[in-house]
Amino acid sequence: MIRIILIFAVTISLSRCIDPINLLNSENAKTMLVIDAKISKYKEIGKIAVDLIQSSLDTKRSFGFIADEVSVINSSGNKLLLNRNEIGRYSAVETPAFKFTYGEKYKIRIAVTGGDTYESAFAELSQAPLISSAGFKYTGIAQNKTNNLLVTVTTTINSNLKNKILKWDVIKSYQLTEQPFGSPPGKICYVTAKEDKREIRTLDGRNIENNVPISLAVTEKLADYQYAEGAYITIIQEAIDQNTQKYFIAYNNLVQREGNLFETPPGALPTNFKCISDSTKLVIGYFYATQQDTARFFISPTSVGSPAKLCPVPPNEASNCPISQCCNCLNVTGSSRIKPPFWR
Amino acid sequence: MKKIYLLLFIFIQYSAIAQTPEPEISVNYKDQTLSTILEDIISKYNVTVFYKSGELPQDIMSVSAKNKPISELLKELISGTKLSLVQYRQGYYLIGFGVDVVRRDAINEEILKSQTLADFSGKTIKLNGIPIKSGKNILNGVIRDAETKEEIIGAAISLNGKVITVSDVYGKMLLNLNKGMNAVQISYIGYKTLLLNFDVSGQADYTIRLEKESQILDEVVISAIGAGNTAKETQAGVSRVDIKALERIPTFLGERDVIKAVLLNPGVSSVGDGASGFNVRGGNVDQNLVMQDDAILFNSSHALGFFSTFNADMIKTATLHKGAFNAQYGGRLSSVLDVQTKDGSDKFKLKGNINVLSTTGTVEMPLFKNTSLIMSGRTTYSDLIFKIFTQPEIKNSSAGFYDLNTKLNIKAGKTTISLSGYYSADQFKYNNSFGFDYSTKIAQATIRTLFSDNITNRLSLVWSDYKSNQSDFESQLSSVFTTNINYVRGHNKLSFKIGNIMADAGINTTLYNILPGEFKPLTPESIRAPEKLANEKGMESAVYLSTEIPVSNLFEFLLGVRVNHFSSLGPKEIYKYNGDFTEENIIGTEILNGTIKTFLIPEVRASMKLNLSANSSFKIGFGQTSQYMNQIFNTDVPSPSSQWQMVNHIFKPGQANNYSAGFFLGSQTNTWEFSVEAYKRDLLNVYDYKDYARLFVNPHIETELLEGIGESKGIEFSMKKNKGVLNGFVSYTYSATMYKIDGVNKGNWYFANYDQPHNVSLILNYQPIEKTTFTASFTFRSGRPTTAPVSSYISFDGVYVPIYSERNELRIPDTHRLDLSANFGKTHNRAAKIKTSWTFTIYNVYARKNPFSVFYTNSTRDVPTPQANRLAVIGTLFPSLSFNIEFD
Repeated sequence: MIRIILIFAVTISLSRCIDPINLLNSENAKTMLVIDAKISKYKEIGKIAVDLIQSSLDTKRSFGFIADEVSVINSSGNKLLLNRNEIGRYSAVETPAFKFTYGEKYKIRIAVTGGDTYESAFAELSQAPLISSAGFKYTGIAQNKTNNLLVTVTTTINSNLKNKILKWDVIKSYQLTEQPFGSPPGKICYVTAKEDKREIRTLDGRNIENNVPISLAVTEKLADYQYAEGAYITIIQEAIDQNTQKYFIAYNNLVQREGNLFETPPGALPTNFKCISDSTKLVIGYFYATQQDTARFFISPTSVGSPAKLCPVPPNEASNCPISQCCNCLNVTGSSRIKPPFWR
Repeated sequence: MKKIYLLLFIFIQYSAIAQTPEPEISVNYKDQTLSTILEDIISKYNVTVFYKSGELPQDIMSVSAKNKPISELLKELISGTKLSLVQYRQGYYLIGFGVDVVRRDAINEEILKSQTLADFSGKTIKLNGIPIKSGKNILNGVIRDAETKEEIIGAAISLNGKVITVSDVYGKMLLNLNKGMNAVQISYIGYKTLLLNFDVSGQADYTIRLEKESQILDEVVISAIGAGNTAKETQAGVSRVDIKALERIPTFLGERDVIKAVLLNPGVSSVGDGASGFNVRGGNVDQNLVMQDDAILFNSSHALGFFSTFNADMIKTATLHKGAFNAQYGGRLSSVLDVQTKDGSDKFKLKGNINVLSTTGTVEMPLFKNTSLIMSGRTTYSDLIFKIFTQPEIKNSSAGFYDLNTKLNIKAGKTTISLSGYYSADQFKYNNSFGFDYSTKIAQATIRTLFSDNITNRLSLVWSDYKSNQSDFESQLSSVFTTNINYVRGHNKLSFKIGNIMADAGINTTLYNILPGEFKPLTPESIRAPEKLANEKGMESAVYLSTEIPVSNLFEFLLGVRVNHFSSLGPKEIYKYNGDFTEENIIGTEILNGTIKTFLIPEVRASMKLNLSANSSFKIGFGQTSQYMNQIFNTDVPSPSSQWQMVNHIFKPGQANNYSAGFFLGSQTNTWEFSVEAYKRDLLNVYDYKDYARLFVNPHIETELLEGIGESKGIEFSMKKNKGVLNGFVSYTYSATMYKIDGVNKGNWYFANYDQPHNVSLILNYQPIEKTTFTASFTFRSGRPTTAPVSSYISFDGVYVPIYSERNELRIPDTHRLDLSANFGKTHNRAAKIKTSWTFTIYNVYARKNPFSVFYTNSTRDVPTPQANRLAVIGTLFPSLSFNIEFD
């Protein structure tokens, strides 16, 4: 019997349960225009940003999309043209003639070469709660690389707010000093990147007590080498409506998918855009308008247990510099030698 | 091999041929065989012609006649051959070699003699009970297994060459016989056909004992109601599993599995290797009523779906009803799998089976007079297998199951009491990361009473508890998610016969108590907050009447009516909505007590059979079905912990109208069978999940589901060769199942995720010598629908975003698989005290990586791109060996 079991075991070990297959091909592929648009108002300055991307099954073939004209239109029909900053990225700041006003509704119109026009639904610019305070909580030496740093905000959701669903963006800027193995420290870089890019944090404020201050953890992190030379955390707080939240829930689901048997099935990405000239043209993406509030604070290395620096790293058989940013700190996305203006 | 007559049954009566003029007929046959012409004459002109198929010439012939006496025509047909014709009674003819030299008054004796030669079991039995004067008399018979004494359910009883009834759930049959000689044929799959000649002079009881078929060549792997009777059964879509043949069906690791046999039926499929449950005619897995005796099973899968919880050694019968099923069944939309367990033998028997996965042991014994006990247990040693692996993720995994059946049968006069218990348990853990464990407990008591020759009653009480846990062992969020279904069920069925009409009338009620879901932290360190949904209660009841009415030789009807009642019971906290059932429309909650909502749904079930000839028929069926609890899941297959949701003030009962029509043809020797059957099912109140639905422990799960309609339709072909050294079965089904639900796929029709248009099953048995059988099994199924990435992009933040198709817009690859098995040493020597055999199985012979599921990840290239990944649960060849032993 043992022999039989061994034969069985060997057979199992020879099997590969998961393998890639060629199911996704040009026959099923679709291309569509992806539009991410947001009006944000921070303090008294309102601005609009629109990102256009042409999608493709082969991601290499997706690219920033150049439109003939990108504009924002208010409910009175007034129009503000956006400027192209780079391929696919458009923005504008409010002008005396075209103000972004709370309670006013706006929509995005995009005219593309060939005559097609895409338009969003109207979105109302709504106020968001302000951040009373922001900070962090360090919970001690991490076990098994679990998170030990909670980033928190304190805010009050007023009962008269129209949109009570809060959304946060957390941006981290940290200092990184390059130091190849066996060499003295080199140049200093400042790396700025959005945290949790694959997880948009939202909270439905309708289910929590209103008009009283609440403290919330907006992200959990591991205090690693990125905090070894000091880091700044910038928190941007917005308020969104339920449909916008559904979009971000779907977005989170799609970008976080790991692929397993019991995973929630994928679905369509909601959109409030459509092609008004040709209903067969595919478009996805979302447009919303919100007030923003921002908070920023510094995290010193000592406040988070003085984590070890990343560099230097000993060479190995594959490379003399296994971690490239230790030899050139500009090798990290979002890295710059220019100290951010808020950095003291 | 014994001689087998094309027509095994002969009606004999020692009466003189009436001196009435012989009917004259007009025919015109062109290029037909004599056999075909005789069959046509028999079916059209209400005459009986006895002949041996092997004696008929196979030449093609043409004949035409106008207003010719039948005997004249028959003589013309056999002219030029050595065959002779004798008319021995009005409307009865005998064609054979040398029959004309037999004196007319000796014909019946000669026929009896020839039957005995043909069947070796025909004998004359005198029934001289209550004296009768003339006319019809009742034979009150019970059909039992000659060896085990167990009643045989569903045996076909023929009188005058026509199946007139089948034995009921007590093995009982009632026959109206003429005074004098009556020839009765009793046949049942896997048993030797028995021919008895009843010399009737009075009413009497008689026990008929069928012997198991000694020639395995005559067995079939899966058959309808018994070999050769598909065309004769009134109800279409009924399939019985040949339990004895299970060991010859090649299965994964050689585990005998009744569900795997069910899957060979046309119209039955599963979403993949190792998937739990099965789909019948476009029904989802939760739309099948799976019963063990009178208990309803909510999870009939071991090892997450690789095996069924049915222990093959405990099964007496397994019947799949996939069409307009009998009115006694209800509560599910799609099908019924009715598994009846054995009662136990009145002599000591021991049986064992050892394979690479599990060991099964069964003991049957008499305890006292008229009291028998059967116990059977099965356990696995799969943990041992996991430990052999070097990969830590497998080494740290475990899986196993066991089940235990026991049944005590007490006979006291005309009452039989059965007490049975069942327990099955599973556990599965992967890499100390996550796991499942679940168990089913059943206790039931059945009292069967024979009130009179025409009235029997069956009362059963059932208690059952199904519990499942899904554990997450991750340190910070370690938790266990629990669901539980508990019910108490009572069912009383009265079976009676009025004239030729047989009827079942019954009432049943089931009280459910369901825990929809509860989260509990698994360790003290876990930060997972406890969460529990309140228990839900409901009562499902029904009354029904089902009748089988043989209107004439041409028509038979099966009519039934069932009235269902369901009550959603409080106390229950419900959510109140201002508009649609969406989270944003919730305006508060309210606690309701007592009866929250009731549903009263009558259903009609009807089947009609039109006998086209002695061996062919056309059947149509219509059945209304309804369902009061659904399993909520949004994965490819339900997990053991998928929640069951009862209908309530928001969820309406699913309802279906089922239509079917089919043509059934069998050869006279029962060697060949052919059928084609089309079906359509219209569904009302079907539910599907919203995109990104949150289903676990959701107190307002109605906000995550959408309601709509559905439709499934298909056509099934099957052909079977029941006998011979090489026998087998092939079936093909073409089907489509679609839903239309507002909020999914923009409100357009879309395919159900288990829709598989093309479905082929093939079984071939080859038995060159008595103790050796080789079996090949091949299955093909179209790829089922999937929601897949059709585009993608990278945001300016550097995030890769896949964009998915509409729901179920694409299809995963087709699945097909060849399995082989060889069974050695199976003796049919009934005198042998110890019987042993070996079964060697090769599963997935050409190592096809059939997709159980396809999921999508980023490719590992520098720029992420959607990548389809196939999860093949059994992606390679699997040999296995089983050893079977029986002690008598």
